[in-house]
Amino acid sequence: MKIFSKYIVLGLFALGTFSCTDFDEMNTNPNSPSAENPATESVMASCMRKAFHEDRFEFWRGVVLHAERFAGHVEGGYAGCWWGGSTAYDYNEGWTAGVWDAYNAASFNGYGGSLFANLKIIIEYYEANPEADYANEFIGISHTLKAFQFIKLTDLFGDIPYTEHGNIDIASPKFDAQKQVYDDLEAQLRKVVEVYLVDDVLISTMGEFDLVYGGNVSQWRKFANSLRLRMALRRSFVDEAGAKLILAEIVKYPLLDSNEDNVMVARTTSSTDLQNQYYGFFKTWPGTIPNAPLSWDGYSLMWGPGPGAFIPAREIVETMKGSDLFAAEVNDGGSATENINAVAGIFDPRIDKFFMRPNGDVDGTHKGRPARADYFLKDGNITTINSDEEEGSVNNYSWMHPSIWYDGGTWAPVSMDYAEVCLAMAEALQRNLVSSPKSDAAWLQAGLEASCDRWGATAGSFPEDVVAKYNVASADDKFAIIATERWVSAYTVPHQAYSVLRRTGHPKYCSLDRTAKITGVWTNPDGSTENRSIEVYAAGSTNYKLPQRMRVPESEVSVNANVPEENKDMVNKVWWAK
Amino acid sequence: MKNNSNWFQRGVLGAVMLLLSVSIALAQDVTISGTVTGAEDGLPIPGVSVVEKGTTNGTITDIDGKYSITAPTGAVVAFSFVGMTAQEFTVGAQTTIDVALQPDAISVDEVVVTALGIKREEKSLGYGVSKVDSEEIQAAAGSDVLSSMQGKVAGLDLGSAQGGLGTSNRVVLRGNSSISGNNQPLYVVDGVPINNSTVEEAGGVWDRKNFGSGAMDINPDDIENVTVLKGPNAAALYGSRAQNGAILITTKSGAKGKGLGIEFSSSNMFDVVTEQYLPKFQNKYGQGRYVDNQPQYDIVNTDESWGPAMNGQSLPSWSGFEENLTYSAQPDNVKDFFKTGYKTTNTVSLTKGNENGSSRFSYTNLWGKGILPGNDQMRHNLSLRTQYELADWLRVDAKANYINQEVNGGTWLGEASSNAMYGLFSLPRNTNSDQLKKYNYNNTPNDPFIGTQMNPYWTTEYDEMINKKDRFIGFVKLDFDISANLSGFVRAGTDYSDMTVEERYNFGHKQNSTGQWEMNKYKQRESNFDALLMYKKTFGELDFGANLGGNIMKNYSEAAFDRGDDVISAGFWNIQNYKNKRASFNYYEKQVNSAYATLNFGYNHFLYLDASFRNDWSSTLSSDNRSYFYPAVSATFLVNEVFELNNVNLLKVRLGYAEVGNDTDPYRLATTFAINPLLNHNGIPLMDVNDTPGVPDLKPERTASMEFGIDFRAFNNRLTADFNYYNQTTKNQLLTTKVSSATGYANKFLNAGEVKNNGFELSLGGVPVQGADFKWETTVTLAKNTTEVIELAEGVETQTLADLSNIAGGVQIIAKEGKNGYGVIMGLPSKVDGEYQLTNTGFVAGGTAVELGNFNPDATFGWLNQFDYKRLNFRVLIDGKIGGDVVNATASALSARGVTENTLQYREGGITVSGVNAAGEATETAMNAQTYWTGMSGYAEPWVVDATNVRLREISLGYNFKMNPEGIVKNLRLTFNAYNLGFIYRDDNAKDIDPNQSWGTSNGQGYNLYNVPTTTSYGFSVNVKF
Repeated sequence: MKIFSKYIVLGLFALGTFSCTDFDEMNTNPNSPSAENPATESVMASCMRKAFHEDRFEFWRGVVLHAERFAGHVEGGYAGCWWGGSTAYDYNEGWTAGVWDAYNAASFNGYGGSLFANLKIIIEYYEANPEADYANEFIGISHTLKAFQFIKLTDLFGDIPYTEHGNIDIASPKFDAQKQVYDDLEAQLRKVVEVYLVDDVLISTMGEFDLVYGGNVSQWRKFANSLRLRMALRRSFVDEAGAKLILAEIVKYPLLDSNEDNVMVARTTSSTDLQNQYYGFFKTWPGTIPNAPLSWDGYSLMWGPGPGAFIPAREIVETMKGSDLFAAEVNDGGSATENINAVAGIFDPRIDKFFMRPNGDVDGTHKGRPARADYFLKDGNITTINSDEEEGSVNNYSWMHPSIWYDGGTWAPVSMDYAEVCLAMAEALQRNLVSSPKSDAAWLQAGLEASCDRWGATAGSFPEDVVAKYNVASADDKFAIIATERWVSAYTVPHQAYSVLRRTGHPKYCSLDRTAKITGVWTNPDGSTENRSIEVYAAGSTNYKLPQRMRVPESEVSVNANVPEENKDMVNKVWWAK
Repeated sequence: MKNNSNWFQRGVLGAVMLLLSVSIALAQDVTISGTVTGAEDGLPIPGVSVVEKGTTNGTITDIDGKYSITAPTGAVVAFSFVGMTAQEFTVGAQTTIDVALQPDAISVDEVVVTALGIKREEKSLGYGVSKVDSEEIQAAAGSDVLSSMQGKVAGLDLGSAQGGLGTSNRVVLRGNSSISGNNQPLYVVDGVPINNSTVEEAGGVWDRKNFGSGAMDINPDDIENVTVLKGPNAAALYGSRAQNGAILITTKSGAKGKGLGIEFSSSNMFDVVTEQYLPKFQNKYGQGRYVDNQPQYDIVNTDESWGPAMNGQSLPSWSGFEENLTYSAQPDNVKDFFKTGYKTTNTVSLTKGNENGSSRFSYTNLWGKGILPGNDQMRHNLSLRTQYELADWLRVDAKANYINQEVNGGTWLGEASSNAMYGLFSLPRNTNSDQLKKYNYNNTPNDPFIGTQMNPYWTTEYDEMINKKDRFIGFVKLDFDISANLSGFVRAGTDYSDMTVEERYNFGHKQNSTGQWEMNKYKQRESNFDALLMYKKTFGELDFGANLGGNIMKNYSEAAFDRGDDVISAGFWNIQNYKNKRASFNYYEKQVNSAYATLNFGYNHFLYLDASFRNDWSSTLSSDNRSYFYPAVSATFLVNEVFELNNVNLLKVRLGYAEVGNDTDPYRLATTFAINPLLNHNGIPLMDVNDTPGVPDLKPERTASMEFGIDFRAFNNRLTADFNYYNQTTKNQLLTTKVSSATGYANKFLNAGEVKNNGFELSLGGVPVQGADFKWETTVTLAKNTTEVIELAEGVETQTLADLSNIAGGVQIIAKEGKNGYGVIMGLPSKVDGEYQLTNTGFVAGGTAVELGNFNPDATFGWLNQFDYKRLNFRVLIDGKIGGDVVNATASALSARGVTENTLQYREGGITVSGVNAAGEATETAMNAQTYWTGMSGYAEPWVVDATNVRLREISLGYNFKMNPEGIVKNLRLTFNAYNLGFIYRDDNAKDIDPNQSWGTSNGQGYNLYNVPTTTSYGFSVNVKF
């Protein structure tokens, strides 16, 4: 018995020691699909949201604080605002790294995935499985999305990793010259237009998941071709011949041809999707309104811009009002008599759709906060803008239109619109880069009408007024008018607005060095006063110059020795802006 | 080292002596009888030898500790027992003499629990172990097991918890060896590994939370002793997870052959917040800012304290409950917020034994109230342990331990809006607490803040973190003897826990103003099945032992997340009550199979050789790399057994070498996609590739360790010294390294990196004074460790451990190649090339980060003293850390807010700072105090402080009441305890923080940001045995 019991125990021992489990099966992630079998639709949806509907984190840092403020569209610096005059003009590692990382890979907080890594897997999958449904179309759309994101990156940072981008085995990829990036993207997009997206089909499975076009391949093709147009004009000053050759090819194929084709991912209707572009940082830290509610254009506002939000910059407000603008206001030694507003004298009706007048007062006058300014002269005293009762109060300024940031706002977060195509064609024709059955003036008019239409503004005689001014202008002034209108029309498309400004130098008022000084009474910390002459605007890391790019962040420099010197200073112009 | 033989062992020894006793020689004169008990517990001791000195006349006590001896008047009778201090008395007229024996200071033949629960004689071990016994654990009553070991084990580096009740400590033995993996030891309870993981250790400084780690659930009252196996030499047999050492906890069990024993103990501690851990606030200037260099009262634009001097002016109030406020200092508005915390732990245990076995049942109830309003903890701990002899060759040992815990209202950490400290410390200096206590929760928290801070009274009332846990730890073990030389056991153990973590953000919360609710559920199960065959035989002078065993470890975990946004009916916590709902569910599985063998040779009781071999097969690695083998060898030489050394009881020299392999987490080999759990787009799920791609050919990590040690006991064991030197290298590290984001990914898994740790541990003990009534026992432990990062991955120069880009102008805690390259603090210097960088109005923001310090201490030490006077017992523990740095980001942030004392400087008249401008030319800039301090706050360098500190950690005063052994109460002990009393030394710049506080258990340490202050605790405990 005793011996028998011992064998039972030993049997248990043996049983305990040996057991059969398939470790490969056990180690296969049961929670997620793998790269061998990607869930294409959902991944594509994520890439579209990433490209066209940036989450709060990257939008705040990448778009608004940098591109949009550099472009002179919005400004912080009111009392209680977290952003002062010099914010973002001074290099900020955290914000810069935030943009660099989020645009190249996933957002740090997990709200936006990695577009490039996603699309690389999708493209490789469909290239390996060409018989799969819509393989060509998925590859074409993927290349278009990739190109859009690469342009965003290179326009902001200059040279970027491109040929070695997206390869985990190259931990520190080399940087490619911006021209090479542009050349290769053009070749890719040409193939998209001429090969991948030639068939006019509707991808049925993408109906809901194609957040832009609902699976309509011909619209994607128009978009890809329009992206080529955007790029061709970017290069047109440094490579005019190349631009001409490309433009001649582009016009053979359809471009966006109505606001129906606009590239956008609609705002989510969720009031808790705080990753929702402007809504995110207006809503998360809302400001109080002393005399709420305020009404504007059908909106009733209970809360206003808070410490993290932005208000219109004086630059765009005065341009649209058709005000007289003089270089002397921003530039030491600039002319005080030569009006540098290309559209002076013409009131732009979109202004009431772009902005809300101070306190929602329909009889009031639009007012923007001067971009980058720290001081102004008050009764002979040098006074900080945000500490002044009048100039510092957010309530004395126009606000961005509530549709853009308020609950339930209907603003269309467009990444490229039909107006841009029209105005680009106008520019190309004005500069004789391409030929078209339609004249430059006709494209200009069509663009302004389309933009008014998109914003719900009553165009009235505005397009005609601009065209009338355009028709009698010198070639330089014509260019200035088109460039200025391109810049205005790119409101809330910050990358585009900033690129137009850098490439064309228009509006001139925005591109000038901000070296203007004021002289007045200055109070010292010890209470004594002295007469002092001080720069109105923040010096920033560019010494009063318009930033020409974002620096590649230190965090990248620390893991990648290939970062070119040129990418380490915000004053260096990118290739196409030289 | 203290005596650790338990009653079971004493009983066995006593029985043996009874059997072996020689017959009693009879003599004349006085017959004396009585009972011998243990002074510690009052229980009778069988087998005590009672001898008339200088004669062979003697006896031993019986099973009830009773004796009877007859000796002539004037003779000296001695009572002696292994592990107890001998006692003598001279025979007089007295006929009844009861003796209470004190435990001996040191015992050579101590038995220690080693890996796999194998008990071995300490003297034969080829590696160093440290033991902490129940007395020492309970002396720090009211805290958890981990805190109670602080200062008592050489080389155990413990970071104190912060965040309120139930938050975790970080324990590191022999330095950090893993760059991105776990550096904490493995916890093993009664031979069965338990789960010590944490959940939701989120990164960044906004959303840090801390819900405690698994080892904290073990009830200190159930612990018999803790053995710390510091390096892989000691722990090779636990495999991968013991790479960072192991902490073996043995719980109490009943004693065979004893009747019903009832024990009750109660520990009651009061936690007090003292000024020594609080920021030093200024009380002269209130809310406002400098406008054109002049201070102005301002509640619209700022919540900082740069306003004019407070002189009781009547000014517009920030509060929605008054028009005007009296602008005067509120020196206690921070201090008044804290409550006195209270924690009571009550245990009842029942033990019963008969000749076939014993059982012990215990129930512990812990109830605590934290120093923060609304923070409380309730824990029930039920434990049953039974050992039974089924046959003379078969024994069963089984344990079931059920733990139920609920912690409410711990706080968020760092700059989370809901961290009450963030709002509290930031309060303008004129903020009246009475106004803060008023709020209308449906409307607004009513606070003076412009930024993301919130009213601390509101957030502790209406934001809530709730952490509920049910846990079962149990095992069944069958021990069997096959022959006289061959025995073995089979064992199955499991640790299952079910945890719910809730975060409630009420309607009105600043960032989640429409209400948010997160409820995350975690299920974790680790089961171990093992079997071991043990062979032992003596061949002449050679003792031989061999073990052969196997282990299967199965890990399973589930994580389910629910989140609701936009509450429909406030105050009602149900996911259906939210307009927007999100959910996810994932599960993970892993298994490691192991086979191992050990060989032990002992020659003539002075030379011992040990070898162990282990092979693991892990499911987490690819089939080519899944199997990995690692050996350990050690040699021990007892010098005192070979050479005649005067007064030396033990001189042991040992040398060991060990390797350990380590696997990884499941599912790291393939690149996978996951649905974004945080958002969808109008209901469309968004799926993304994981930001760290899979690596199909990951290899196991490998640690190699060499250890050399000397153990010394002399003068009747009154002097002890243990010394260890170790050298440990971990290579092929499974790094999660940050890559250029232009790879499309954030991180990459790599098999790279090599980290070397070397250092020594020294433990010196002694009994400087030992008299009949008085004894002083002292132990000093000292450990020094140096970490050298030999190599990171190719092309990778630094590895980020924590990225704190928003504190003190940006701080990173990194690893980089070189000596002391682990835990390097990188941040912005205040001067470049010795010069301040100036604009014409202030400091230039930004710059290039430089190395400012390292969070690891150079050395740690503890000094424990115990004084016994008759029945009175007094203990005092001093411990400290030498070296290491911490970024006092709290001081940085508060200085920018103008609330701390240092910001009184330059308020009147400002300061003129000399430096250079952008062009490098010498310049001077006049600044007001706000500009100056805000500028300083943007640099990290001014806030990096030396973390060296020496503190009075623990004091206890105990008294053992004299009880009648026949009475109902057999033993009564009362102890007064005090914990964390104060600092003997602390850096001048660290006088407002506890430099030892850790941030959860992650590898990114070395900073302090709105920490919940460490408390000083006072209390008492009562232990009654019936």
